[in-house]
Amino acid sequence: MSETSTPPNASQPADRAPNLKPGANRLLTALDAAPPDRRTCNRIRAAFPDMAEAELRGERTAQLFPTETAHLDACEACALEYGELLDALLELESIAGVTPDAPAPTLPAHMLTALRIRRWVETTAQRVLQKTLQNYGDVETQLASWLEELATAPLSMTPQTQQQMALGYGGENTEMSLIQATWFAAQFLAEQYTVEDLRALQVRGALAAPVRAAAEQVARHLPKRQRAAFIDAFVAQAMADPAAVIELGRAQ
Amino acid sequence: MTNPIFPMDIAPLDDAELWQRIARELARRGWRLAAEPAIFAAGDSFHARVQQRLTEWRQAQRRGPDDKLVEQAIVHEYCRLLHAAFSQGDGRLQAIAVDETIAYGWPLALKHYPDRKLAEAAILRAVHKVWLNIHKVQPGSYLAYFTVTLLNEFNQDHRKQKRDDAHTQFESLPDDVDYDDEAISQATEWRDPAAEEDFAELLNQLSAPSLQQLLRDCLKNPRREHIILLHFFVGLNASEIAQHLRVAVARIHNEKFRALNRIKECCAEEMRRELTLRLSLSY
Repeated sequence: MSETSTPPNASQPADRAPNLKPGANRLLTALDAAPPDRRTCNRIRAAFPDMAEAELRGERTAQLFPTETAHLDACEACALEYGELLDALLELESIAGVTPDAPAPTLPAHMLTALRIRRWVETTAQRVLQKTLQNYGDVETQLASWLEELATAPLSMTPQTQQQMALGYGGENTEMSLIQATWFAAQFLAEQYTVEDLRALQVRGALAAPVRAAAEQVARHLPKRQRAAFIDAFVAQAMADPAAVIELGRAQ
Repeated sequence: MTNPIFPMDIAPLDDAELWQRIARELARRGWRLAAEPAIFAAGDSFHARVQQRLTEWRQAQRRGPDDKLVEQAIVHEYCRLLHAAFSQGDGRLQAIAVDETIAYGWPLALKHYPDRKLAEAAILRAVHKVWLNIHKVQPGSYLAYFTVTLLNEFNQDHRKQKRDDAHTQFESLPDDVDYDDEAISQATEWRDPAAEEDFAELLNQLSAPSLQQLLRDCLKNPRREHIILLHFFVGLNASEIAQHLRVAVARIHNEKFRALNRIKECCAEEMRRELTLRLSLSY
């Protein structure tokens, strides 16, 4: 690579002295800056990936990100964190293509299943809630919040989850119990069947049976008044787009 | 990278030289090409996207397609592919994107943890968090976002380890003392004579002898003086200064704050007067 060893501004003609005003202003601001508050830090840190990307390609961050740069001139914690990010990215750039001593890990099976079913569950849970409840909140946010537990353990139908689902009706967690039920029914399909299995069932016109069976199995843990509505909504949504259901299956 | 079927499409560009540069850089990174109709429409290709990106950046920055720009255009477009694969509901593409993401950050995780199992746990947690927050990620800086998340995992583990150690040790070291810093901060020599010349030229162009003298008298540390002048008045990024000094970027920020604190303690009023004078001058 032909990295330049000359700072970009060094090619500026010597008779054209740089304008010192922006620098004077920036340094004055840095010297007089009030201690940053946590919320500002969080907002600035959210811009780090974009800033770092621009900096790595040689753009002047002070021009592209003036607010963020001013903050980094005043907040040592943020500046050090940003510096660490750049150091990490530069290091990763320098070792790109080099095979590490130890092989990289792969995602656990339960995470792979989660990757496959998340979008379908979001859409289906939306339909289930529409059919079952009059008012409901944002499915995506609730699901994401629940999925945070996936990093430490697979989400499965433990006795505790079953109890939570059963108690959900009439309580604060009504929506969550239905979202969980949708998840577990989809998870059951995704783990029990391969893509080929589901495709073969679809060809024979028999796809609805395992979908209904999965919904019925999970619905047993829901309050009685919700069961029929849940099963009907789940099956209807699945049969509206059989190709999407087939894609839930395992590769092999 | 590791996966031989990551979704990219191959199509020749009119610009043969650029095509070769892209191909060389992809080969260096081990990123291989494969047709992927789920991501590329007919007539679309990875190379074409890189070329388009380069055109946009070159117009915005008014510079030629130097190697750094070509490299970063490739990374940017690759990030967009990973983001697209991760965001779609297609489990197969998502799994490929996850493998590629893990392969990218794995050397960093290995470096930060003596225990491989801890490295694995940290990188899997980071991937999981990116997956949950994919809607917040700018496609072109996907890998930078992942790196931020990974570093946060390292830092959290590090803090937890420190807390655990504090319970088991009779006396722990205070957090705010950098025992190595005294020796480092006194080191004023330049590591790279060529860089020193380049910077000397830049500083000569500043034509601000009184400002430079004030900094010299206050900081008594040529390197910190140069960092302040180059960072604030020449407008160089910290990474550019770090590259020339051959030190870490975080170190440049660290020294910048030590210099600022020194100015505040030593000559804040004089400095304000000097800077206000600079602001009042017309050029």
